[in-house]
Amino acid sequence: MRLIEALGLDLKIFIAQLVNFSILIFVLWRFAYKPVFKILEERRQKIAKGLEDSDESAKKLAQAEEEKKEIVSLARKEANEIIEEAKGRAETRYQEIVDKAKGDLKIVIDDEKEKIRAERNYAIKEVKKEAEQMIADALLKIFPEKANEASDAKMIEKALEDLK
Amino acid sequence: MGLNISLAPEVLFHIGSFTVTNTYFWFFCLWLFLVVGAIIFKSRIKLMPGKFQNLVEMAISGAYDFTESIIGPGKKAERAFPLVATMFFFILISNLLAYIPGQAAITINTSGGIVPLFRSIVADYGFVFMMTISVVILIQIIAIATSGPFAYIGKFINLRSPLKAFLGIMDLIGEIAKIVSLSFRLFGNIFAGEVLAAVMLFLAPFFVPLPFMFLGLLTAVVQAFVFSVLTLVFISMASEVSPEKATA
Repeated sequence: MRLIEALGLDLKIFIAQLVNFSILIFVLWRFAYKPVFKILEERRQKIAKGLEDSDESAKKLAQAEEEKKEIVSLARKEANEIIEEAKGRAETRYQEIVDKAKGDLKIVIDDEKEKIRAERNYAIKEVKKEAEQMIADALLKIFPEKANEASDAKMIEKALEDLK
Repeated sequence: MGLNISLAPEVLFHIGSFTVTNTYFWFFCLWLFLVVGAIIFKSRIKLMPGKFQNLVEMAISGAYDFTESIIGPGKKAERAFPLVATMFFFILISNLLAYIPGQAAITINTSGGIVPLFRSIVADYGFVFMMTISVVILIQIIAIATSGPFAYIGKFINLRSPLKAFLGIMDLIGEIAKIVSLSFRLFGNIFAGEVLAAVMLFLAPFFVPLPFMFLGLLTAVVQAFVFSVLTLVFISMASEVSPEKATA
């Protein structure tokens, strides 16, 4: 008993401290330890997620790069093809146009030739006619009495024919 | 003026029939501070920690890691942690409070004479005894829950052979000794530190007490650590089904 007194033990204080300490443990657990663990876990997860996301985005970036390259090369190839094709088509078209122009020219030339020929024929005919007339007139002047128009014309014609 | 050293805490005042000693007064102050602090802390906790939150997180997660390293990870550590960590932080803070300079000079005049307002909370055997007895009772409960009531009793009372009977009595004494050793280790160290500092201060007020205060500071941290680690070890031992217990 004297020891208890000397040490200052007091039942009421003992109980008060016991109760208060229990409350303190509960309060610290509820308001300090648990929230800290929760937030640490949350942060850990967030960091893990962030790292994962960054990995993912890096992967995606690489993939996009790859895709870009592929697309560019494909586009280039396609463009080349298109250019090649266009060139080919232009070539044929050019050929066509040239051919057509040549054809057209030929037709025009032929036409012109035909016209010229016709003109010439006409001119020749005209000249012949004129010449016949002139010759007949001349002959008539030279031999006025022997003029037989019909036979003369035949003769002139024959003569002209021989002239040719 | 003489040196007044009292083993028991000094009585400050009475509330009804309740005696408020200076250690209980500070116990209550620290208790209130921690409770209010914890509630405020909870409301301000953020995913992006500030400096203070960082410190608290470091202390708590460090303590938890240490707990796990002793008792093993999982449910056991989770259950033991609140008790052990609270004990550690409470003892540590109350020990360190004694090193706020100037407080020893504050005295108040009571019916029982002039008494210092401040006294380290742990330098009151009542508080240490309360914690120790709670721990020891808890250990017994854990032991009973782990190995069953019969095995528990059988550990102490064993009549199969004289040697085992003797060992059982030794175990019983060991359990009681735990209370004494655990409580007096903490109380003795802190109280002795206080007394030593007071004596040194009384004999040579300048410079000479400094090394003793540094020693006391070391003791303050180490004893808080020792007390909680021993508690942890006792809990860990009680929660393990040893082959000895299993066959007893």
